[in-house]
Amino acid sequence: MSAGNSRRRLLVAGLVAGLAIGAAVGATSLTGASSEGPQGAPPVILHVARVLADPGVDLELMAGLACPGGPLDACAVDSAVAHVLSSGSTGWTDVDGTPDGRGFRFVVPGASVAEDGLSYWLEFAIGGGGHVTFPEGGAASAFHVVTTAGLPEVEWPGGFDFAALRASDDVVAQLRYGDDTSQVGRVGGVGDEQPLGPSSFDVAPDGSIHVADWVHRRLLVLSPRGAYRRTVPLPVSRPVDVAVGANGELAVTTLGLGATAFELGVDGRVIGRYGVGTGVAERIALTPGGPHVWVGPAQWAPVRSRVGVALPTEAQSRGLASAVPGRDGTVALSQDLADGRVAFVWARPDGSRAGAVLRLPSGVQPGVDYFVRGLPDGGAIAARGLWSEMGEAVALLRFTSGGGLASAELIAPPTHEMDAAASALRFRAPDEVLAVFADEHGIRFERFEVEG
Amino acid sequence: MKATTETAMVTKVLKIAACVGLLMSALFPPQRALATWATENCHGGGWGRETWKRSQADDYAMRAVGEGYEFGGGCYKLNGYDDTPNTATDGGGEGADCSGFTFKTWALKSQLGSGAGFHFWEHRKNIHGPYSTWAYYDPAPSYPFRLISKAYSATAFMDALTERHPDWGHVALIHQEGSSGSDYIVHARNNTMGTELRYLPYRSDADYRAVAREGWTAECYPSRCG
Repeated sequence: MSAGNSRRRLLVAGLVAGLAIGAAVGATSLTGASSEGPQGAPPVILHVARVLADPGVDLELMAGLACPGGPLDACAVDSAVAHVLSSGSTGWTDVDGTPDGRGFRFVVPGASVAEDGLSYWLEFAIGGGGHVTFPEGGAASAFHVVTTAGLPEVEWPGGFDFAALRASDDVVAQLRYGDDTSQVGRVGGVGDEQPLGPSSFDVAPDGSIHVADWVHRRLLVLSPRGAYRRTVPLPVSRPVDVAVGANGELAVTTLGLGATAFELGVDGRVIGRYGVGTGVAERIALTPGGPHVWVGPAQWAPVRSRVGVALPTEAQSRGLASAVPGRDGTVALSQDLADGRVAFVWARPDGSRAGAVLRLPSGVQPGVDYFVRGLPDGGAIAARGLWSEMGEAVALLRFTSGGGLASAELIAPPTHEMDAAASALRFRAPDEVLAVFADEHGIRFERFEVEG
Repeated sequence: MKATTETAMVTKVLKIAACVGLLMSALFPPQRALATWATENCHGGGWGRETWKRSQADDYAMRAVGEGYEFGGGCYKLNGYDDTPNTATDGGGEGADCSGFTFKTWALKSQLGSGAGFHFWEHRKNIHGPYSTWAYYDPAPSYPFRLISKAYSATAFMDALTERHPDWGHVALIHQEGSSGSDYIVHARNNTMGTELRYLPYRSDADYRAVAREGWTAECYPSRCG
């Protein structure tokens, strides 16, 4: 054997050895270690919390269940009870849940739905004598339900046609898809992959527009007229929703279980970083008391005690609320009721309660609850999705201080490519709505002045 | 002296070659690892069965939550995370796509339109099945599923919501009915989100239709129903 052959064989042997080691390392890092799902994990409660109900009418509550990593039987939920405290009464009454689908149904008798509302929390008996409560704090953090008592009922004015859509007043801004600084990311849109563009936007008190570009992990800030101002990089993946505070500060949350919420100063510097210990985070709101993260339908969790100090998971769960105030501190909310009606409630500037119950045309169902916003004159503007087998639209509603319906118009639904669906349409003071629409080239923000 | 020199040279050559090999494998490990992921991990089987309840389908679907998504794929390792995150579309990684996920969850047979009955597929079986989102969106009479109303009163858990556009489509399963046109949805979403459980407003989206599998076994089975 020549020295040259010997060296070549050594070279080949070394290469093979190196490749084998490297491949093993690469495969390990990619596939990870195998492990089975958690055993004996408590069930995850899937509940659409109620915020409004008709007084004296049976109130139906549903709670679904999911068992992380395994079949539902593994969580061994034996029974469920809704504990109800009717306003004015001194003791909790129990309403047994009946199995329904993959969860339980509770029917709170109308006699327990007092005009001033009620509170409730849910309790599930699991194997081994254990219990799971929802919210986690039980009676101490029960959901509060207000009622429609005293609210006027209004009808949808005139005829209703999903095709009779109002055009926007103008296009405020456009952003093209792409990777440049002033463009937004988009993925999917081929085969069986849903397309997803930027995930949400919010409007600052000065009217500027903040867009969450989750693909590029950044926020794009546009002037009120849509001119590009700046880009704010975010130190996280999947920033799904953004909220702008009263002074221009920002809050952002990532998506899903184990999400992270951030507070950013006006300059974009991170001033607080908080783990979201409960639920599936999808949206965020900035209240005067700090950021709250949407962790389920009508469930908002506080995530910090003061700037920079995270709340422990238990405290987040105890603080779960079915509605949170806006950045100005006022509360406004909406709830679909039985028989094709939707209730809207808001606070007037003097603190008194106002509201209305809108009866929808036959066959039309309430859809996405975009917002309700009280106005300086005591009235309110609301945007609510509507749908049926025949179509889909968004109703722009202007209520008077007394709950009368000053105007009701239909506009096209915003793009479905924003993952935080309810954040694809926003109120902009003093009296307009911004909605995002998409085509194959990019997104555009259209402005609708609300009459009345 | 000569032997010592040769030994040193051999050692040197081996070290250099090993370094080059390590460098090359560091530069190209994902491709190599991905090429073998399915063959190394997807050894599941499948068999016909007489019964399949909605609750069994739901358990089957929910076990895949948190795992990956793979266009044209079908294999789940069930370890609680996406084994092949951020891989290129159709890159041979973990997970089903939305139509394959529905096919396996509904325990459909592998032959297009092959009538009633059920065929259970293990999660680790790498099969997509013959039904694309087009099939769910516009089912032929021979398919074992049909379009139904989107009204809450007409649907039940494990029915599907599906949309189809010229370039893309989606099909998703109802885990728990919600309100206001939204539901708790379990589905193979896309390559970024993987297979997830989310509360999403698909029902109120005008692009979506509701579709139901036919022939579910009653939940009360084998007890006497009624």
